[in-house]
Amino acid sequence: MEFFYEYLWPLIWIAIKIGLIVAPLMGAVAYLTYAERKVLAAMQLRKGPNVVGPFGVLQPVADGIKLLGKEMILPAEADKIIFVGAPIFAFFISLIAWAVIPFGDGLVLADINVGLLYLIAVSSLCVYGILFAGWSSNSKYPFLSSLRAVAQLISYELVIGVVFVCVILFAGSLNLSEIVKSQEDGWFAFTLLFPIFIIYIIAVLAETNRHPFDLPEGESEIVAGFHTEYSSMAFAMFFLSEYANMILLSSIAVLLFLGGWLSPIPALDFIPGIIWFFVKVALFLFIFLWVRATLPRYRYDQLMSIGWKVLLPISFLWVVVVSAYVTFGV
Amino acid sequence: MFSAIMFYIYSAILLTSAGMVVCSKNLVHALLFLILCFVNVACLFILIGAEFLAFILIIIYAGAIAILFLFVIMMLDIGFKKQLKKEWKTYLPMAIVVCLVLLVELIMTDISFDPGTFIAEGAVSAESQVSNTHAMGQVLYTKYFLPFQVCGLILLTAMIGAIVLNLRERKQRKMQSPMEQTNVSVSDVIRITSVISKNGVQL
Repeated sequence: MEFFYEYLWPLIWIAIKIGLIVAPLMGAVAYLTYAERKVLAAMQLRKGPNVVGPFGVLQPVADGIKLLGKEMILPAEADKIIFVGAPIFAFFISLIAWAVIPFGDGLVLADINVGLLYLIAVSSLCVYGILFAGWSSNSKYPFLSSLRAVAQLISYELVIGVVFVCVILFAGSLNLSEIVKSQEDGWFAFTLLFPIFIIYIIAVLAETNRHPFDLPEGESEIVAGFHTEYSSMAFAMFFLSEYANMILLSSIAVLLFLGGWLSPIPALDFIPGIIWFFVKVALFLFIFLWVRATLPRYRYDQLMSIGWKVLLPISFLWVVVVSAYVTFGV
Repeated sequence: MFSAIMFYIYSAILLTSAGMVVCSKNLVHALLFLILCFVNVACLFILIGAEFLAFILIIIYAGAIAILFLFVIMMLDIGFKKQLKKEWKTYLPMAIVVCLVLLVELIMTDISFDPGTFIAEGAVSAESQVSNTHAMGQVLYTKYFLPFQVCGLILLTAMIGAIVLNLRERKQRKMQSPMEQTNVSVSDVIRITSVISKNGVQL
């Protein structure tokens, strides 16, 4: 009995909490695809999905069932274990980052001291799913595009890392809950960190392979990118992890710059923090869709030169500015 | 008890995958096992409460260095298996010498290593209330300020060296200059002429 209370019950309790995070996340991913199609349709004066269910709200369910029902094809010369493992790994990595995200005051699975560092570590592992998917397919388009995707990801990860350094300097902590609490006097997006916030938005677009930086799956050049050879559930896993990453990076933006679960004005404090958090994340996700409907795709060399020659120097300069501000308190 | 069990699990995976790095015939698989090694070392760091080091290890080794290795290995199409079959006998004596030297060195360090003096000098006491990251910063920027900066300078030199070695001007390369493109005025590229019938335009 002691064994049960000491070891087993905490384990079960953690499993329940993980379930409570993952299940709504998958629902959110499904309805993000629906929202994306509806928003794009509205911006292009179309109707969007409107057949399955009222206003087409059951469309994601139908899509999911369709993907589950398809056959999974293994290319003849593929490295089978890695080929199957890559999407599972990508999916797994996109879920474990959620462990440190605080949804409200104290509503967090693991309130660790180095939360931000953990997020950088997880996002640096993200690359492997793509790289191994491209390599193990043993086909030239996936391989080329996975190299391209990885080069893009690691250059923009650097930018995001420097952005995080600025926020850490400003907040004085690596713990995400602490960072949110230090924004009670004013959200970081409306302070000295405003340029950094803009850089973060641009870098996030590149980091999640979204328009206008969706070169890893630029269908006009390299078929469908690194998941050309994938079908059925394996493809669905890449798809899910991509959208889960979008939601993750939006939540990080909300936590770091937009005050997390804090309400914008004190008069609205009666609304629970978790609702504020979700509303802000939804608004930030809307930026992704808005940009997708608006901007044309960049060329690859332009993408790299923006990352290395514009965003990185500016954010490094801002590290100096922010640390001077923090030290001397102008 | 729990952390002891976890320690043995992680160590077992670490040692097995380290062995597989050396043994696997496919270089990409070897690198995969190397990444598994890094992640397991990070887990061991977390077990002893050094979370900052653990995540830095993953970010730098698994996130940057291993990816560079992978880039190189994936791009090279080396017939490693055939080469190994043909030439392993020629490299065997050299390999044995290297292994022996490493073994002797390891044994010598193990004999002369005294953990007491080593740990007591630099580390922050475990009872202090500051977090891992703060403690490390306080030591790095005060006591070890000069070595820390010198390390940075050495890395900077290496970085500049790598760039200089690779920098060469490609004469034939056709480049676009966005500056020139946007600075073009209408009069530079368009000529408006009135066309006289049956004479055409002089180009």
